[in-house]
Amino acid sequence: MEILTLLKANIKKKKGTFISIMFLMVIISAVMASLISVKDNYRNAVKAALKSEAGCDVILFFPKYALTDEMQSVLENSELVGNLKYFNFLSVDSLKKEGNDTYDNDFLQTARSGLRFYKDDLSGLESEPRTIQDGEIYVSLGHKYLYKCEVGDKFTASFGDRTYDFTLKGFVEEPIAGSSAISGGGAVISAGDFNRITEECKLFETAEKPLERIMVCINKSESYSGSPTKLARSLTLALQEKTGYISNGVFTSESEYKFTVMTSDIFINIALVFAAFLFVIVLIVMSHSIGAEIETDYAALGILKAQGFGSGKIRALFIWRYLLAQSVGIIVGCIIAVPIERAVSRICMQSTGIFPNKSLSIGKVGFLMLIILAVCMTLILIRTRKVAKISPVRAISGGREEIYFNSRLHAPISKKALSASLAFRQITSGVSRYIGVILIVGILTFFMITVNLIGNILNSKTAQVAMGMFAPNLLICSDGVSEKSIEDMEAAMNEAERIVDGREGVIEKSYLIDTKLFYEGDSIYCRMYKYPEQIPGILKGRAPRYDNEMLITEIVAEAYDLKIGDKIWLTYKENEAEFIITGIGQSTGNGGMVLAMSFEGADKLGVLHNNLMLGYVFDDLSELGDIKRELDERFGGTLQTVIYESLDDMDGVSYTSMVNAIQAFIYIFSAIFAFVVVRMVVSKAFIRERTDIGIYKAIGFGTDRLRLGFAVRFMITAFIGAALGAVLGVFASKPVLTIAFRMIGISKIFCDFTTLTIVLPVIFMGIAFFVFAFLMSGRIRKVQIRELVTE
Amino acid sequence: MKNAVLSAKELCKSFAHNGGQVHILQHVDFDLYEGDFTVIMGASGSGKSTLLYALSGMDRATAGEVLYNGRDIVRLRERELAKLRYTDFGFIFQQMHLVGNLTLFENVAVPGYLNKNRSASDVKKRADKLLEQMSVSHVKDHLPSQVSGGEQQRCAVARAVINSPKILFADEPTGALNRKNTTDVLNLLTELNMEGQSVLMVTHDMRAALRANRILYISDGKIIGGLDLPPYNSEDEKSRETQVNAWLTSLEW
Repeated sequence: MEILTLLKANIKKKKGTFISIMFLMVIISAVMASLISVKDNYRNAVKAALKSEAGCDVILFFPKYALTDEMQSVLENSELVGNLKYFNFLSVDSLKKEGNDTYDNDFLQTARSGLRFYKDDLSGLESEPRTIQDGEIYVSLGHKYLYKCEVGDKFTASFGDRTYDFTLKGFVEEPIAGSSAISGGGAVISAGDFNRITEECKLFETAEKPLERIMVCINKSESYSGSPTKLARSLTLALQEKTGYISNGVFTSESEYKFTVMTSDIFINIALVFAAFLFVIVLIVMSHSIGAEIETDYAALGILKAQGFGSGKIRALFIWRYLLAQSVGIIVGCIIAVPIERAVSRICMQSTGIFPNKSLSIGKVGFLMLIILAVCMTLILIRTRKVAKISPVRAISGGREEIYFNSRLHAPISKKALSASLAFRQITSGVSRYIGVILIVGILTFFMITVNLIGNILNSKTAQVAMGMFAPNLLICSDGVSEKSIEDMEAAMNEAERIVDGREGVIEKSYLIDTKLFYEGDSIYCRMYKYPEQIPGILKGRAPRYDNEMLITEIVAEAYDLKIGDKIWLTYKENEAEFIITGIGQSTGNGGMVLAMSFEGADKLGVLHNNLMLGYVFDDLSELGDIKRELDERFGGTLQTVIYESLDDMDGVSYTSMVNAIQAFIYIFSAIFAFVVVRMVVSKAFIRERTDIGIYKAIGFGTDRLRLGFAVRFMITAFIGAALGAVLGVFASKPVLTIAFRMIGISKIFCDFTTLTIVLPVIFMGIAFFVFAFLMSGRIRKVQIRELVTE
Repeated sequence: MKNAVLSAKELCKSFAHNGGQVHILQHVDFDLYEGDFTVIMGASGSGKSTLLYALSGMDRATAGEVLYNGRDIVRLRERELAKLRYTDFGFIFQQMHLVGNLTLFENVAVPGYLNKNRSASDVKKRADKLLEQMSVSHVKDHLPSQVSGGEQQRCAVARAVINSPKILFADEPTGALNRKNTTDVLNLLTELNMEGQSVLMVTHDMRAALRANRILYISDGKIIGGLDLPPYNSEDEKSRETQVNAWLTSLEW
């Protein structure tokens, strides 16, 4: 009962601390609860979609003519296979959205069984499948955001010299290729249109350019305990062994899952790590606050002891007060997390293309919050140990005196920089009081530098090239609708290359063929370069020079335990060839699972030069329009030229806005934390230094000068912390980002820090602490000199 | 005819207490003369410290005026009052109130640094001289916590006079000191006064009061009596004490 009375009195007396801790916990719990829920909801939604009737464990793609009865029999009779379904689809030359050259989809299907449709207002999924009329087309939600598709948009599919027009009617949940990270897409048309195109375009079909294709959706048998990736590997190896043919491509639910949540996961993970560090900051703030309270309330605590309160009860008082503040903060934070979760879900939907549940993951969030409270309680128990040492006698005789000691850090007090030198003296006289602030600023600065570095990567073409990202500003590719022969197309491409090479400002060039090869039954993305010496992102060894040499990424090397000098067999359709690994690099293609070789290597495997791509990175984009016009005039109908001004244009996902959002998130929360930290530390310092303030006033210091001194003191502290954070940033930002970027295939970050990358956060923290400390020190005005009177 | 350097007219000071008003100073009229060593005496709670703080501009009076150089300091802005504290007024507290993380030398020099009319080297020279005069130069680089109470108070005196103030205010400067230190500090104040320094001191210590050439007695917020004495001379201390004692007895002290 007496604890309850004291608790109420303490909360009332120290309501500033109570509100500050509560406020910080509101932020932490709101961020953590919403992001964990978004992550969890997407994970569940993607898994549910993959497990739905329209999804499956493994999908094998074949040209219809290639899938023989023998191959079907191998698959159907495999004891690894539980059930399988065959779906026809059409691989058209191109499917273009009116007014959008970059629209990338050549995969038309009918509404296969189990495919679900979104409601018109995108508030959820329809309970019943829709009936698709002729002339109507549906695309995945990922494509909606990727290419900014709206209902009513016009699309044209081409095959040979035939074209077919469609109007976008709505959006489907496409668990196989619906994410914007998987640009394959898969547009859905009516069975009538599907059959008509099949019938009318059959005459244009060749072995190199098949129209009709089949996807075999396979679910593993109940007895098979291996992963979908292992299942795919076993089935392709079985096909190769028994029929000599593998497949054109393989998707597994694991890879689908990875690519669907890849982009959103990177940004959510960064924000979650930031939130975790914010929690560390809360612990530092609490630790400082408890220490300062024991110091300033020394006499009161001694008097409580003299009245019979034991250390246990006094510590319980601390625990209850802080845990109550945190619990209230957590409850409010979780309520606020609900709308935040919805907003973040909406943003992530752009990249996942999947509609998640919009609710908090109560179990996980609750568990996390309990852990947070347990950690806080442990900290309070540790920090209140010194309560046991308080002696009632010392307390009653005036409490613990403020004792300053000489410090080697002391700098002389100077007339010219009086406020600054006095401020510095305050810091050096009680360094331990400012260590918490220094650590907090260090952490915040480190995060700001790290997020700035992400921005640098997005804005630096040189960095992107060095990291093996294929992000050209100008992309020339063979036009799918061209009737020209492969030789003609290659000749046109070579001529285009000569023209663009003559232009100034080219930073990087890639002339390549993209295709998929098989290694040990796994389908792996391979980039085949005309100029292998120009392969970007080589980390070790050298580029392949001969037709039997190849390069692998670090991620492939780790996945298959390969190293430079190893020889491996690769398969393309029915062809096999042995290659020696000459180097290890990195690439953002296919999540980093990428091989690279020369055109000679491609020829050795029988890969045709019909999907040529020539990409250029320019340092000045102003002439790109002219170049495109020239190329269109000369090679229109044979080659297609597209301009990408930024990565956003390239991948459709607004990386810039995501990075801007996360930058804003980190800067805003850093400022909020700086404000709360300054508020708490200043108020404690104010209580402790009240007498000194009175003395300074008595000897002629005005309020403004004293406030300036307070502000300068916190600015100096902030600069020390920011310098620490900057050093940490320089050494640790790249390794930290590598962990996050590894998901997209970057195993080594190549990006230089600009002056602004480091200086901006340092200045930001310095100014924020200066301004907040100046504002918070307004109460200096109320200190009366007569408080120094001893009656 | 003496010149008044500071004059109070109808000075009042009240505090809110338990929903009402407590009148600590009631219509006090007072003149402090140039070169005088004036002491204000009175019982505890009589308002003597409150009067000192109101006269020195350390606290604002509720009503009335305090004229210094023709200006009413009650109505000065905070910034003007601050300037007055480091140019024209010096103040000594009972509890020394040195800044704990500054050395004795720095405690003395810092108010000097505030004065824009003095160079840093001038301030340092004067601080050194004062500390020498106060016999604390041997501990000038020590922190207050590392020296005795007497040394702290002597340092506080040096701090109060660093800017050569027109008036030196002292609030029971010997209240926290032992007998020897009390004598040392009083001797310092007397020396300063003999050099022409105007001093206004609050005390209830008879030995301190004897140093004055004018003693005022305050009771219930009003000055009820005054006693003029010849300038202090240690040789006639006994007769001064008898005279002051008799006067105080007549005031029912």
